[in-house]
Amino acid sequence: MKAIFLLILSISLLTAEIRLAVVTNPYNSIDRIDRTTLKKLYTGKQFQLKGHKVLLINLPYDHPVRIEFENALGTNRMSLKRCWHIAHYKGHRSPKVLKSQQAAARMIKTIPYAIGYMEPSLAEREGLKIILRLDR
Amino acid sequence: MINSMRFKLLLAFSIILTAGFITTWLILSRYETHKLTEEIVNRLHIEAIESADDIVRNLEELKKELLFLSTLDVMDDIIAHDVDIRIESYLKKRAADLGYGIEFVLFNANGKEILTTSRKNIAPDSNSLFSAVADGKSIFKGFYIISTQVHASFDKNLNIGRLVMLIPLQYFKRSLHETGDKFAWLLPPENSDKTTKEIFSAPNEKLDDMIYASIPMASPLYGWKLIYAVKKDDALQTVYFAKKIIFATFIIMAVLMAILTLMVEKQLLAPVRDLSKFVKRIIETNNYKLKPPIPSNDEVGDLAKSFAFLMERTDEALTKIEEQNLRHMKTLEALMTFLEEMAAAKSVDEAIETATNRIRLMTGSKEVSVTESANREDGSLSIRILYEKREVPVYKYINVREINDTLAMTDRVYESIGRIVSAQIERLYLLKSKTSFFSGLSHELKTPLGSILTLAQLLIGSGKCGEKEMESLARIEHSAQYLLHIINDILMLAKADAGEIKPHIQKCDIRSLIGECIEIIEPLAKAKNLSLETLFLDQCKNIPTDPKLLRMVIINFLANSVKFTKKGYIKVAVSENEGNLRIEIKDSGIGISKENLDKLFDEFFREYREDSSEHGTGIGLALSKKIVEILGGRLKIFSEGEGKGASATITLPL
Repeated sequence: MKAIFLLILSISLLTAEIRLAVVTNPYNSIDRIDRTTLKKLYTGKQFQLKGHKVLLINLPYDHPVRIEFENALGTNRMSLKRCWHIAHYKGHRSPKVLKSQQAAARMIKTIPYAIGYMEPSLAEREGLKIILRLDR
Repeated sequence: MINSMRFKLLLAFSIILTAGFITTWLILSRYETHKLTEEIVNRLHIEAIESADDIVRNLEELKKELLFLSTLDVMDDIIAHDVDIRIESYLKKRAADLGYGIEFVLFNANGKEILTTSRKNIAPDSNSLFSAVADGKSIFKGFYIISTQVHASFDKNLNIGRLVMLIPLQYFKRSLHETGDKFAWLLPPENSDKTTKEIFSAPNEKLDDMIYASIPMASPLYGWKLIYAVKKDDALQTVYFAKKIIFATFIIMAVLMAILTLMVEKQLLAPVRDLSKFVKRIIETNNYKLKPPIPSNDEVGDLAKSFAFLMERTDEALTKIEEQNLRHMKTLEALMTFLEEMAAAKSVDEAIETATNRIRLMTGSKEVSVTESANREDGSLSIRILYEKREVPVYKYINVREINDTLAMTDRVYESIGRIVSAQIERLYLLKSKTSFFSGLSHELKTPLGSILTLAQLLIGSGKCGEKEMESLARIEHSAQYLLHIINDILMLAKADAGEIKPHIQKCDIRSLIGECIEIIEPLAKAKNLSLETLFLDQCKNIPTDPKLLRMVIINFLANSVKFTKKGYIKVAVSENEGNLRIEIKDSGIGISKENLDKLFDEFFREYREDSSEHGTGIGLALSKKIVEILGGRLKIFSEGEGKGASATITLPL
């Protein structure tokens, strides 16, 4: 049984496409977010959702999930960096970088208007609210 | 000793030195010590204030550091518990940078310890630390704790935890500047825990033995005190050292002073002492010719010189006085000789010649003459002589020329000489007239008396007279005999007065002489039934005297004794005493009253006595005294009073 489970898991890992889930604190009023809004948030063009200032959670620069996420957003990494430079000079903070997905999950769990991205399985495990799924 | 100059000098120097020492000592002990203590306290106070400021400033700095750290973005990791690498390493680095054992502890909002830079000190008691922090306590197990809330960087209202800084209490000690002899310590409030009190234990020294300054600490160390102190012994070392130096100086000065005093005394007073000794020697020896020692050319030398000068003057004066005295003595001697010679003069011519000769000798003049008038020439002197000759005043002048005055002959002396000569001449005239009167009278009386006696004796011897006539003739003869006796006595007295009685001194056996006298008197004594005793007390035999005159005197006294003694005895005692022969004739007669004893030798004196039927002329005693004096002896009559007998003592030189 155990062997079968491991087999299925390995197959699924190998074959399944990496998917990302955009998540938020389960107790806020944000239920859905579209790609455009997400992009606006992560490129420093929008900072609030439903009247609330949101805390964007990021992962370290070299984290594969972050690379995946930025690709999914369809932005160039360099231009993204530039965007946050501009935002910084406008008095905005760049997304909070956390070391791991777990840390991100914990942060999102604690902060009501935190929005982050992670593997959907983790999000589900941590009981976060998935407001958007990003496919490859 | 106390009056000595050395003692006085020593005393004066000692007083000056001791006064100086005491003053300096007191100034050092009281004023300087007080001043120095005050200065030290001020300095300590300033240091304490600086240290306190330093502590507060350091704490402020640490607080600022803590605040800064709490605002770091990484603090947001508290929320994510993602502190393993970033915040922990950061805090650890900061703690290491700060040093002094400062540690950080990070709690999340629920008070759960997220991380600590060091586990060794507070673990496992992070809970009690958090509650202490929550209670606002500032001291925890040997740490001073400051803390601040940590807010999310993205939401300042969101409290995500608490950052606590643990500062070891020893940290405060870095602001205390303790040097070798300076102590500095913090005094926590009374209610502090044991650990704190142990950390900030005061030094072992007693506070009373220290000079200290204590200041209360400002926030955040309210209730604490900061004390800076130094040991009194160390702080006042300079004063103590100065005191030691002064004391040593005092001792050295005292010794030097003693030496100096002795030296000064020797230099200054030794000559004075020598001078004093010299004066004593003069007093002892009376030698004013001695020369005083002249020690130096200073004031003492001047004194010695003046003294030498004074000595010279004194010596001169004394020599002068001595010479004068000698002259006066010689003058006096000359005057005495003059008097004696004048008194011995028997006639006026002799007196004048003697005076002239004497004056020549006394004045040293070769030209002395006697004139009737005074010589008025210059350089000549006239001594006036005035006497009465048969109630007519006679003036004579002894003129002296070319006086070579070796004696102290003053006018007064010359006047005296004049008076002496005048008096003697007058006396001689008087004596001459008295003697010639008495001898004339005696001769005039003796001639008819001789006729009466002869005629009476002739008539008695003729046998032609009857019994009645015979009785009358016997009375006449007796009376004439008595009268003749009186006349002989008067004649003798006159002769004696005129100095005409010359003793014929020869060796004479005193025993036989007295025996002869006794023989003569014995019948009379027997007739009155009186005992007559002779007593020779010493081996006295031959004496040089005039036996005739002495016999006369002894018989006179023996006769007197028989005459005035009714009953009892008459004793004659002969003895030798100090080169004199002493003949004492003693009786138990009627005696002599004391007031009359002095008048006994007056011529013609007779004591009137009711109990005496005897009569006499009163010449006997006066004559006896004169004769004894002619013999060179003395006569003394003594009686204890009336009825108590009398004694006559004749003392003759052997």
